Formats: sequence, C-alpha cells, structure tokens
Amino acid sequence: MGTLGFDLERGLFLGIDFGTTNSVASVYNFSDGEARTIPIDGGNIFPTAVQFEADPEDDTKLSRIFGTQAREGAVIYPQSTILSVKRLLGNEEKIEIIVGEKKYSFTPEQVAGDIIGYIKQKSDEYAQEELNIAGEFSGCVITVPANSTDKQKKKIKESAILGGFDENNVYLRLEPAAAAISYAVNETSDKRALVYDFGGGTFDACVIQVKIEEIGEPSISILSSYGDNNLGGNDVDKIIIDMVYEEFKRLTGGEIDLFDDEIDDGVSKRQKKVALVRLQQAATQAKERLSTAKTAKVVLAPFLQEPRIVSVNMEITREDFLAHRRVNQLGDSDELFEKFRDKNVEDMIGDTLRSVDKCLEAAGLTDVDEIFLVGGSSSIPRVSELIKEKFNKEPFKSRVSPALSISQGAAYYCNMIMMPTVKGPVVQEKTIHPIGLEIAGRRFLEIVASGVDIPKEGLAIEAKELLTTNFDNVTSMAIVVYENTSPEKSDKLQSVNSKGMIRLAGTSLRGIPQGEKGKEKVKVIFNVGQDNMLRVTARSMSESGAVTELSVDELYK
Amino acid sequence: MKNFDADFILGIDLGNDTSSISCFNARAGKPEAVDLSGGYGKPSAPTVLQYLRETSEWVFGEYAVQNEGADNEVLISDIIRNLENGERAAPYGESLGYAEILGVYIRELVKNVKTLNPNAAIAGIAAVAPSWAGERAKSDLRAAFKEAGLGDKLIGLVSDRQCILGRYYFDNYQKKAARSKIMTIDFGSREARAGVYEASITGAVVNINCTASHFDVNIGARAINDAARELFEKFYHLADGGTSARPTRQALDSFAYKHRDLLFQRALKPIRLYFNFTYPPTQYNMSARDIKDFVTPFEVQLTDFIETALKKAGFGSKEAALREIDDVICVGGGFEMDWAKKTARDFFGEKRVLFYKNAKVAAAEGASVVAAARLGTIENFKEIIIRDKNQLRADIGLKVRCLKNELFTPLAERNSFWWQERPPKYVILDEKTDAPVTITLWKRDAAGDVSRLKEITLQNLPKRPRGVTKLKIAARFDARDSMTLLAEDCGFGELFPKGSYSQRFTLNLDVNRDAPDLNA
Repeated sequence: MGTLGFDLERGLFLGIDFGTTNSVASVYNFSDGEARTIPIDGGNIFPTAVQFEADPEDDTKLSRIFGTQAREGAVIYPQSTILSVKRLLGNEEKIEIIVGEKKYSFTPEQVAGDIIGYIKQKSDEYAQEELNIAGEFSGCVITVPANSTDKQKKKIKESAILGGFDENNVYLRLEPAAAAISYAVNETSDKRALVYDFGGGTFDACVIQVKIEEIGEPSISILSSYGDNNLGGNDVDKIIIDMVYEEFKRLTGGEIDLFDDEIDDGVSKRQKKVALVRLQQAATQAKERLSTAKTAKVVLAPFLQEPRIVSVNMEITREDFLAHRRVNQLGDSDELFEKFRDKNVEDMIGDTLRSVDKCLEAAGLTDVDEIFLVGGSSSIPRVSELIKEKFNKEPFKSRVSPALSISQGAAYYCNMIMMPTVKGPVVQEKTIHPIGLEIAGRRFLEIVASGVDIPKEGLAIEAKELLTTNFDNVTSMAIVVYENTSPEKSDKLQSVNSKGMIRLAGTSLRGIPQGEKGKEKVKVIFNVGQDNMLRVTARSMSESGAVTELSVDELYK
Repeated sequence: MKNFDADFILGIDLGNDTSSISCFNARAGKPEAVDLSGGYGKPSAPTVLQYLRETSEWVFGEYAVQNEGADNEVLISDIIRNLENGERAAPYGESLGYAEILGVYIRELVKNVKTLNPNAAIAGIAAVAPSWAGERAKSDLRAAFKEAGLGDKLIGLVSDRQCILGRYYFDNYQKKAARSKIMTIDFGSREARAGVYEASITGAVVNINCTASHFDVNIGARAINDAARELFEKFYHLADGGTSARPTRQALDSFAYKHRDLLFQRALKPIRLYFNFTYPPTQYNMSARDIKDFVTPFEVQLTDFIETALKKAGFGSKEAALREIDDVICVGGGFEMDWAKKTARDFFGEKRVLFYKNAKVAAAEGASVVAAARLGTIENFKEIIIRDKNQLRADIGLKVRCLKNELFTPLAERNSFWWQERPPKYVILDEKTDAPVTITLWKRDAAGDVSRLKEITLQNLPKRPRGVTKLKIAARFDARDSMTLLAEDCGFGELFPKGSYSQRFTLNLDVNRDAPDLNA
C-alpha cells in the first residue's frame, strides 16, 4: 500500500469536484503517481446534499447530516434539506429552512461551506487511516464550470475557506480543464482533443492541446473553453418530470398546482414538497434507466394522499423521452423556463453542440483528434450518437470514470502545486478570451489577448498606450473591464455593446488632478492569476499618483 | 516485447454475486479496473441480468438490481452457481442453459470496455476460474465466452490464486527477495479462503508452494449482506410500527443495495435509514451501538478464521506467524467493508497487510496481468506456477463404455482439493455378477494421457445377469493421501430391486505423488 510522501513543499492539497448533484474528492498519491478518489461515506460519489435538524443535545443548535442520508431524507424533510446548492452560489438571496417550527436562513456559501467541510473532514480521516499521513488537508483545488462568473468563483472560494481550507491555499480550476488532465496524463502522442462535459447542472466544452515533452511527460494547454451554466442533467430530468406532471394534471383535472405553495387547492405545503422530491428522485432513476433500457416505469403510488389519493403509474419509452417537449414551468424562473419551453432532449443536446462549435471556433479549429465525454449526463446514449454524427468518429469515455475524472484532474493539479519540482503532467495555463477596457466611444480596447501563457507567478500585462482624460478638469476616470467571448477577425475596435462582450467589473480612478483634456495620463496593468482571476491596477501618472485597483474582492464586497 | 498499446488485454472475474473486468494498460504498464456503473466509478457490477419481455432486451448489472420489479421483467441471478449445477432457465419461453445466459452477461460486461476506446480491438482475455473448478465448470466457462462471441479471444482460464499472486508479484517482482512467505485472504461473496505460500523467483517465473489452505462458507460477504437486509427489514418494521404492508423483496433488496456502503464502509457512525419506498415514507435512526452489535460477531468470525488458517499452516503461535510471514494480501469484496479491513490490520499490524485500491477487482487485475504476460507484453515476468499438495494433480476415474467408445469418467477431478465433496457416478456393470468383479481406477493427466492407477475388486454383489447391475460409486478423500471409494447397489427396475450391497475401499493415494508433474 502506497503512502504519500512527507516532504511536501506546500502542505497537503485535496482535489474537489464540487458538483450540483454530486461531489467527488481525490488526492494525488506520490507513491504510484496516480490520483486516487477518496470514498466518502463508502462511495466515490458523494451527493451534494445537507439536511439540518435540531441538535439532540441542545435544541437551540442545529446539527447537520450530509450526502446520501440527506438526499434520501429530503423526501421526509423537504423543508430542512438543501439539494443543488451550487446553482444558488452567487445569488444574494438567503436560503430558508424550517426545522421543527423554527425558521433559519443561510447564505448559499455557508451551506456549500458546510458540505465542503464535511468532505474535508472525511478526506482527512481517509488520509490518516488509509494513507498513513499525520495532519490534514490544508489546501484544495476546487473546480468551477468554465463559464462561471467571477462572483460565482469568489463564492465558491469563500465556501472552501468556510469549509476549513487555508485562505491562501484555495485554488480554482476550470472543470473541463481538470477533466482534460485526467485523460491527458496517459497520453503518449501529441493531439488536440475536445472535452465534452455534460454534468448535473452545467455544460462545458473545452479544447486542449497535448504535447509530449522531451522527458516524456505531457504538457497540456487549454486552447478554449465555452459553456452553459444553466444546462445540465437536472434540466434533462425535468423533461421526465414534465411528462409525469402532464399525467398528474390529467389525473387531477388540472386542479392541483404542486409548484404553488400559496394556492388553496387542498394540498398542504409539506405534502407538495414531499411529492416534488419523490418526483425528482423517480425522474432521475427513470432517466438513468433509459440510458441502458428502452423503457422505464415511473410508479408513485400514492403520489398524493389528500384531499384524495392520486397515484401515478406510467411507462416511458426512450423515444418518448427524447421527443417530449417541455410545457410546464416546474418552479423554474421565467427566464430559465423561456430557455427550455418547447424544447426536448434532442434540442438540449443540440445546444451543447452549439457550445462545442463556439469552443472550436475560439480555438481556431474545425476538428479535433479525439473527443472525451465527461459528466453523468453524457451517459445518455443519444449524446454519443450525435457526437459521432457530428465528428464522424466515436467519442471516448475514460479509463477514469466520467464522474470521477474532474476531481482526479484536480488532484493532478494539486500535485503541481504541492510538489512543483516533481515530474508529472504540466498544465500550461493560457488566457481564454481577450480581456480589455472600455474606452471612449464605448469601444473595446484589448489588453490581454487570448491564448497567452500564464506563468506560475501570474501574467502581468501593461496597456500598450496610456489612457488619457477625455474632458477638461475631470478628477476621475471610469475603469470598466470587459471580456470578449466572440472576438471578430478585424482590425477595427469592437463595440462593448456587441454580442459576446461580458462586463466583468467597473470602478473609478479618483483623485486625478484637474487639467486640460488629454493632459493627465493613466497607466493600466492587467494581472491574470493561474486561477483565471483578474486584478486591474490603474495609476495616474501625474504627481498625485492616484491608484485604484479592481478585483473581484473589491467588486463584490 | 510485443506492443499492444492500442488493444485491450483483459482480465475478467465472473463471480456469482459480482463481476469485474480489468484492462492491462500496456502503455502505462499496469492493470486498471474498468468502470461498470455507467460512469459512476464502480469497478464491479452485480452478476445479474434482467430480460424485458416487452422489448426483448437484456439489462445488466446494477441497473437490473436497482430496477427489479419496475417492469414486466425476468431477473436472472445466481448465474455462476447454476452454471455449476447444470441448471437451465427460460426467460422468454425458450429454455437456455446457464452457459448461454452467462454468454449474454459477458457480452454486456465487455461492452463497457468499448467506452474506454471505441476503436480498440480485444487482443486477449484471461478469465478467472475458481481454484477448485473442475473440467465441467471450466468447459462451461469456455462455452459462455464462445456464446459471447469471444471464444477466439480467450487466452485461458486462470485460477483465482494465480491471479491474486500474479497481481502481487507483478507489483513486487523487482522489490521482493528471491524467497518469501506470503499469506492470502480472499474474502469473497460465498466464502472466505486463506492460503499460506512459499515463493521463490527463478528467472521470469515465480514458483509457489501452497503450504496450507483454509476456507469457511459461513463468512462470505453474501451472508453478511443477507444479514444486513434482514436487519434493515427489522428496522423498517420498527420504524412504521407495523402499520404498513410488508415490503416487497425487490424494494428491500434495492434499499439494502443502496445502503450497504453506508453501513459497512465507514467507521461506526449513526445512520439515518429513510424508507422512501413505502408511503408515507418512514425513518429509523440506526445508532453506532446498533451497528457495533451487528458487526462484532462478524469481526470475531473473521479473527477466528485467520487464527485457524495459521494453525493449519503449522504456526505454533500468532507471534511465530507474524515473524515468518512477509506479507498478507487481502482481496475480495469483503475487504471493502471498513470493519473487515480493521480486523485484518489489528491482527497482523499495519505494515504486513496489503489491500488493493479495489479489493473486489484484484483477481480481475491479476488475470489481466497474466494475460499480458502470456501475450508477451511484460518484460521480466512470465508466469506464476502454484503447487498445492492439497490439490489433485490428475483426474481419477473409471473407463465407461458409451455406445462403441470407452470414455474416461472422473470420480475426482484434477485441481479439486482433496477435502471437496464430489458427486457420485452411476455405472452399469457389463458382466454377470455371480463372481467377484474387478474394476480399474485410472488417472488422467493434464495432457489427457490416461494411465492405470489401481484395481479394486467388488465382492458379494447381488447375483444378476450381465447389464442389470447399476452401481453408485462415490469418491471421498479422508486425508490428503487417503481416498475412500464407496460402491452401492442401486437396483435395476422392478425385476432387480435395490439390494443391500455396499462396499468401501480405502486406498492409499497421495494426491501429489500420483500426479507429481501436473499443475493448474
């Protein structure tokens, strides 16, 4: 049995794939040079769920139950169980739960922090018992979807710190990039590959380039990534939920609305919540079954007991499942429902393929050597079929299970952080999209190009030209940062209003001495870290030397 | 060294409860477990098939178990056990032999490998066969691979012990001393088996002598899982106060399958059991004490098992065993249970005990190593040869005329352990029985050569004409070097009712000496 080495330079790091539905933790094992997934509560896949209950010893406090038990407990305790918290990260709204008669509220990052804390605790125990390591995981590499906003990234980092990791040792990496690494470590030839990551809550595509270095180790570059933060297995589940809900509406004559707690239709709030959790579980089970069988049954008998017994017993064929177009809002926001209204599973897969096209376009490619499937939802057979049609080649799954590959990739990243001098795969981080500033005329001035290597210490790029004041006697200057996700192949400066421009942040440089327009000059430096976090410094070049810094921390405090 | 970088070299372990596949990664030079759970990271799958009558399709493994009862389906389990018993099943009206059913299962199992690399071909397969498997079981296994369309890919059947030790020596070939003493404990689903071995490395071959072996059918992981299911059922009734209907077996099986990990694979911590399959759903809070009470008898059983195995190996004391044994290899799904690992660690101490990342898959990984070695992709390591003085080195049997041919019919099969129970054979004497009849015992070696072994004389047979004396002949070993043959009259229809004839022969027949040059 291998043990981890002790001469770690930066302490022990844990690779975490914190998913919408499930989470996975892995550690890099130095003795065999492999990433190893840590079983938490007996399984490799840990449901991202927490259930709150009154502490049996002190009922003024709450105690927490995690994972499988919480997921199963959601049927009985829907009001005190939180599932899919990842989708809420970045929201300002607090999550309300009811334990007994009491109401409590938490921020999404507090709840995520609790779950990550439990994963850390179990991983610490595993490291001590199975890998003979004294001490605990001080840092982590935690993965985020490719299209996360800076705010979401910040919140997930905050969650990891709340979970017990050292503030300076929480690293974020992109999910598809991490998955790509777990594939690429065994590669022995140069290639370009597409990672197709269809997870529980998000879809990400990522194009990587693998180059075998002279010493035989693969060097991996991320050429582009593109994703959809609101398209995942949960939305596929909703197709089945929609089918069952149609049947339910038929059985009840449309008199009961399970998604409206306030309406008086004779069904208690609690009964509605229980029914919805059971419906969700039955839908997930039916979807998974339809990956291997041509039919699945959904039996919820009884589904409701009061004011009258309603039982659902229906058979769903794979064809029906793929063809059904969604008609019900099912508790989604108006915006989200609009996205999925009248869409079927084929359409959703079609959406993922459009993201793939954008990803390829950003990498300047039309084809790749290999395609890897990642994420539970990529097990849907139609995904493989459509990808095969598109690329005219069979996609690969991994030697690593698709559900484990992101966390194992994160563990390889951990190795690069823990033991940077030890040989192993190297990831050459690159900037993904051009980043720049808004300048006069609402135009976009590119400062950092795409595809630029980001060294370990971060990439610092100074704007080629100094910015100048546009009007006489102004004392402040707006510093607004944009990311250009759809760069045009033209020498003309694009408008910041054009499609694909994302406003990342904005602040003002104050304290510029008054003077004629164009007299005061401002130097701007963009600093991109390996975790794709951006810090912008703007400094007035005059005697006042006013400086402003723009970063995620400053933006969202 | 041959290059199979792009092709699959597979090891397949078909167990009665779960099966697994390993693929030898020639590029990385190591065996790897194949995910059999549709991407969720489980390297083994239940050996269960489901036939859906409505759509005429087969569903395999975990999905078959978890969705049992969800459709109008036929669930087929106990495939390996029924294969050995020569049973048949009729999932869609047509009677199928279990070799054919296993063929379907193998086909479904091997499909999972294709997800690793859809373009790769299969270079060869080694399948794990139990050490005690006789020729019949082996030929059924071969037939199943043929049925799956993989008959030409099957390099060979490899004994479970060869696989386990092959896995170990593949990892430790360079590091190990030329001679060493190894213990294996295989905590399988049907029984626990232990062996103590003396190994010596000669060139690219590891020669291993088995000095003792021990097995116990009462402590298989399956018995523990059954006990867990009963415990869950007990708590289900406690939770609902006896008000709900009795749960269906399918509902409980599926619940037990999902909750087994929680119960066994983590330290003794309280568990919430939510019985969501009933309506309204109920809950039982299982305390750490409940779990401890459940697990403790199994811990004691496993400790006793290890102690007995060491005694059989001739170690005077536990200390003597700890002094002499270099490594203890723990494999089998049983060791995925937290308490079982802890019991082995507590007994032997941390350093000597070796667990594989996937205890259940170790045999399949070993098989893929053996396959790779036989295909010539591994340098320095070719073969594991195990000699076990407790295993028969040749078939022992009779020659029986069938139509015009004389066929060798084994009473005791090669590779079986002397202590195994053996089914009797029924023969009809081809001569009058008014005088003593002498029959010859033959032995058949691995090459198929048959030679005379002993002669026995049947005396005081009931006097009957030629062709109407039917005898039951059973072989049993009382010790390694002592075989007893029991011949009994069976009667022959109404005209010749069963007589009192019964004769016992004790033969000095050392299983080693009588076939000194053979091996599994």
